[in-house]
Amino acid sequence: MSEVRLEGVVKRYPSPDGEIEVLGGVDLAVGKGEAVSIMGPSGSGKTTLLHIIGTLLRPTSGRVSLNGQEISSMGEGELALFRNRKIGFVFQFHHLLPEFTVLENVMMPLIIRGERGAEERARRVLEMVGMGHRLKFKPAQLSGGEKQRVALARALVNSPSLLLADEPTGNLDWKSSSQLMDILARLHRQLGFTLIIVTHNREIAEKWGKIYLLERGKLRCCTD
Amino acid sequence: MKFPLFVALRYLFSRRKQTFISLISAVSVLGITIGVASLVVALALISGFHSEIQGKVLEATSAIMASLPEGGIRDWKSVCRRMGELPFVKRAYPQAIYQALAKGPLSTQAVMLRGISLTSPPPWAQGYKGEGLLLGMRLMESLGVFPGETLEVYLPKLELTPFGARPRARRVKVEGGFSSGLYVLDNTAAAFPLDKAREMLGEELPVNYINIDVNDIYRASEYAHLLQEKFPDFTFTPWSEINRTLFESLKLEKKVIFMVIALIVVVAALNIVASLILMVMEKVKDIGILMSMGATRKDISMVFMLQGLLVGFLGVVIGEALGVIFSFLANRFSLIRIPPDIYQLDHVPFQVKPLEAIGVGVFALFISFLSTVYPARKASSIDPSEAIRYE
Repeated sequence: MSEVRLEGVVKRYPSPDGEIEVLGGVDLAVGKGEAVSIMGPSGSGKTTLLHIIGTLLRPTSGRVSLNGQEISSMGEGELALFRNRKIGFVFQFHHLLPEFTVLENVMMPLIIRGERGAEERARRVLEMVGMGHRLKFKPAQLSGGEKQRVALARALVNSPSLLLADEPTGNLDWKSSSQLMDILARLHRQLGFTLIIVTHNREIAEKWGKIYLLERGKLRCCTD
Repeated sequence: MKFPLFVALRYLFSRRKQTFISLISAVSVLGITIGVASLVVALALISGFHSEIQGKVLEATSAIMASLPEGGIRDWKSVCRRMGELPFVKRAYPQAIYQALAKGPLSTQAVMLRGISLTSPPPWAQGYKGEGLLLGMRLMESLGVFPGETLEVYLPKLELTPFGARPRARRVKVEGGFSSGLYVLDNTAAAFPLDKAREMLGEELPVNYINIDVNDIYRASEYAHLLQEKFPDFTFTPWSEINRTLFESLKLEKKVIFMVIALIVVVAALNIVASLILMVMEKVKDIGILMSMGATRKDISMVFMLQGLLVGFLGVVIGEALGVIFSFLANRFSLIRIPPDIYQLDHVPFQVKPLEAIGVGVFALFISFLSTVYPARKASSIDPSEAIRYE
């Protein structure tokens, strides 16, 4: 069974000149524990596609099923719960909450869930990404690479079955990018989550199994 | 700690990039504080006056007054005894109230002759021996008489003289004066002993009122109804009815003052709206991120509602504390002095009623809550996908 399955997904946005079609019938199937990357030029709809897979956005038409569950039939509350339990996000910008410490940022998905033992789990995941020594730091006190590692820890703290990474190295220098990709590869092997990574960087894309190309609203497979 | 409270507390108390928002939040807390403190103090002031006046009225009159439509109560001794036997009646005592004129060295004044029982005198006539008239202190001053001197009293009865019909006049000795604190009584009352009316005034002035003191003055209306059932010939008037216009005007004053000062709280609540709207605008991206982590729209809404309520709560707690402390000190140390000859009190009395103070707090919290509704709805309607891309 596929972890992620998209069938004929269309996304149109209203505009002053009528509707703009960003995704024009996307089909995608990603198996459990598989890692794929999606490439494409700016404005090709990569982030829109990732947000649809991540249940942050509903498609105009088409079917999306995650972990065997059809998400179009889920209500807002169910989707929020689904995101909290099954999906982790890493964005191009770290998007850490500036008022909270590193530890609190990582604990946040568990606090939302109201789960006990959040601090212990957050500490463990931070150790896994090499940030165990910065627990009480605020995001502003960290380097770009460190922030992105904390963002990765936050995405993984709820043990998601699906990790969506939207240009996670887009804002990092070469060394930090490489460090982050190494950590991500190690954790993918260890934890076995399904990974979809959107990137501009061919070199990074090639680190993962399949490469998809999104162009003019169509997803083309694929380079193994 | 629950997620919405955890985030709301941090947003509220952490240093902000935009200090303007912190400033508006601080102004909101200050506004609610001032509004709540003012309301507590204003209501305590009115309650203090109300309570003082009520006390004086009850000292000067009684909880319930009984009268007969035809005037005189012939068998007042037996009526007083029978009324006094009722379980809720502390005592029932007679009084004869008649209008008269008194002529002293300085002036001639209209007076209320009050015939009282020496065995059961009203509170303001304690120690009265009944050897002459007992005058209100103000009346003594305006007439210009001193204890031991005599007054000319004109009774509301005509007598035939060689010069025609004239009001019956008597020269009566003044025994002393009293001060009840109630302007009307101190300015007009001239008490005499009921059983010496003929000897002192040359006229039998029959008892026309029975004063009834009860165990619980706040149930006077209810007791008046019970008395009415047992003594159907009498008319019973509770103290609240006797001075109805006075107490009604105090109540009205309290309502108007509440409404005017409540505007301060409303203005402060507008600051809460402004600060929350600005905060929602500042936190668009954070809201998107929190939703991507699984926060529901309700959670997001709660974060901002709690912030507004926390601002309101802080203002209420500080305001209540300031209001109660000020009222206590002002009352205890008579901080606000007033001329006693005008107000019959030497200082402004403050009495904080716990229910009123709680009511003020609940009102301010409710207004604070209302002020959070729009910003919270705005925050919860944010599209997470757009919010995350928001720059």
